[in-house]
Amino acid sequence: MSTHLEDLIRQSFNGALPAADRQMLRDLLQQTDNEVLENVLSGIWMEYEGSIPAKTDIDELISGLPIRRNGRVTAIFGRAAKIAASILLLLALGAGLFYYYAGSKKWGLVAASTITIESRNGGATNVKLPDSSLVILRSGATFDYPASFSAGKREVKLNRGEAYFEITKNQQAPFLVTTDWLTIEVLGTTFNVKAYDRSDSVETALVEGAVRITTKGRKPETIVLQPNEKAVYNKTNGKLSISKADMESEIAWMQDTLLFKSTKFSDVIKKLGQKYNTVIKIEGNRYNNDTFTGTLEGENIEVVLSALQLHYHFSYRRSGSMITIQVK
Amino acid sequence: MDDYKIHVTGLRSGSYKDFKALYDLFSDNLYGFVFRLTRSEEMAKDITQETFIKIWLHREKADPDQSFKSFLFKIARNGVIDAMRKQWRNPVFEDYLEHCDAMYTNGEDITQKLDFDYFLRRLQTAKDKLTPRQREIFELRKEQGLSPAQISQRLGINEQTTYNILSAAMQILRKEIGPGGLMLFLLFFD
Repeated sequence: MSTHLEDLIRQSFNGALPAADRQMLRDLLQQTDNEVLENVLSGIWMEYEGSIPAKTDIDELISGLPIRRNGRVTAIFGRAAKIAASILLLLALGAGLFYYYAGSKKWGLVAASTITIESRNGGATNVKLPDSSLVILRSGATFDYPASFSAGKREVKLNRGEAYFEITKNQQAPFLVTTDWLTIEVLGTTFNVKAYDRSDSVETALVEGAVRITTKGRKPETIVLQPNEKAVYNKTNGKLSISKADMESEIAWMQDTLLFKSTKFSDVIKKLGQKYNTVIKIEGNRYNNDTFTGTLEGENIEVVLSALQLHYHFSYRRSGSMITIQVK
Repeated sequence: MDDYKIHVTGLRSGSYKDFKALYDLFSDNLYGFVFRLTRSEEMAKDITQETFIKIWLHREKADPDQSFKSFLFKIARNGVIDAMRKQWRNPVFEDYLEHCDAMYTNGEDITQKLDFDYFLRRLQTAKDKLTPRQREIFELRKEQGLSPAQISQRLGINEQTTYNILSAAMQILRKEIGPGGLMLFLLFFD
């Protein structure tokens, strides 16, 4: 009985207890004494590495106690506050993004209606899906989506790599992201998925909203994530567990990416110069009135410029810390 | 592995700084654990606070050679078990979970704000829109768990009337609770 109870409690803990089993859990809880419950909960607790910001001011509570404290008091809210800010920043950036930068990407039609995008080195790729949802693929990612979603379902596939999703609400059509190992059903809005081939795990970090993750395979496991948690699927032992997401590092790659929306060519170059700490001069005025919409990401300026060269015709030469762009 | 062992040693000797380091390492983890079990921000917050206050008060009992994580559990467990039992005893808790399912299915935004406490407050406000009779019957059914037959017997009305009043009450509550609450009251007729 206690293994059945444990099963039900685990499912409930994971946010995935089927409605039909709730009555059963309620009844079992009434019949179970504390000792048994303690063992079950202790097991779940020792495995659980997730977290939700507690937002409590422990300093104030402790200082209210009639006990002298030693040591220095440091602000505890620094970290939580920063995470919230980075989420906001992300959303703010996300709102301005609308187009993909096709120049550096390989496009192909796999089936009649499936579009495959491979985000190659040198830049993140923005994809606007048929339902206006936004996907940002990190360089190296490949991603399939249909040219139009069929009624009642929105399904996309991350084949490889890492992607950030902002999903448009649609009550009639659930949004599913599949990977080779698990399926993520989007219940809310914003999250990040890592599915690298070389890595032995698949990670989903939730920024905002809620996602339900189900593993593939014979004995599927399900977890509903809360914001700031991440689900880690271990490809080797098939276990799905919850751990804490450090949102800042999870989506840092998003912030290393330069985002442009209808930006003048000269301003794009200026921005690159600032980011990579290089003086860049433009020779030739052919692109003076051109605007650029898209994202650029790269370890160094050469990588980014070669991505930009797929879109614009120019050559460049470096002399010392200065780069001269020659528009053809 | 136990890089926090040094903090436990510090805590034992009364260092608030080490206490804070442990708090930073484990409080969000404990909060998340309790929230997942109870779906209540208030309970999660209370238990997290109480646990750490107890740890500070009984800091000499912390043992650097034992897992701090299981020490935390020993201090928190009674509160956690009571809280979890309390939630599941509440007949509306299952309706709340049902409500969450409905929200998920409808693709609504779910945040931690949609916890059980918030749900109960919304239900309470919605109940103000009921007539006294509707409210009485609704509460007998849902909060005291009487069957429609038992309600009819107690109030001396026929069962059909009980059904009709319940059904009218539910329509009002459904409207008040709004989208996402549509499936909420399905459970009310067993």
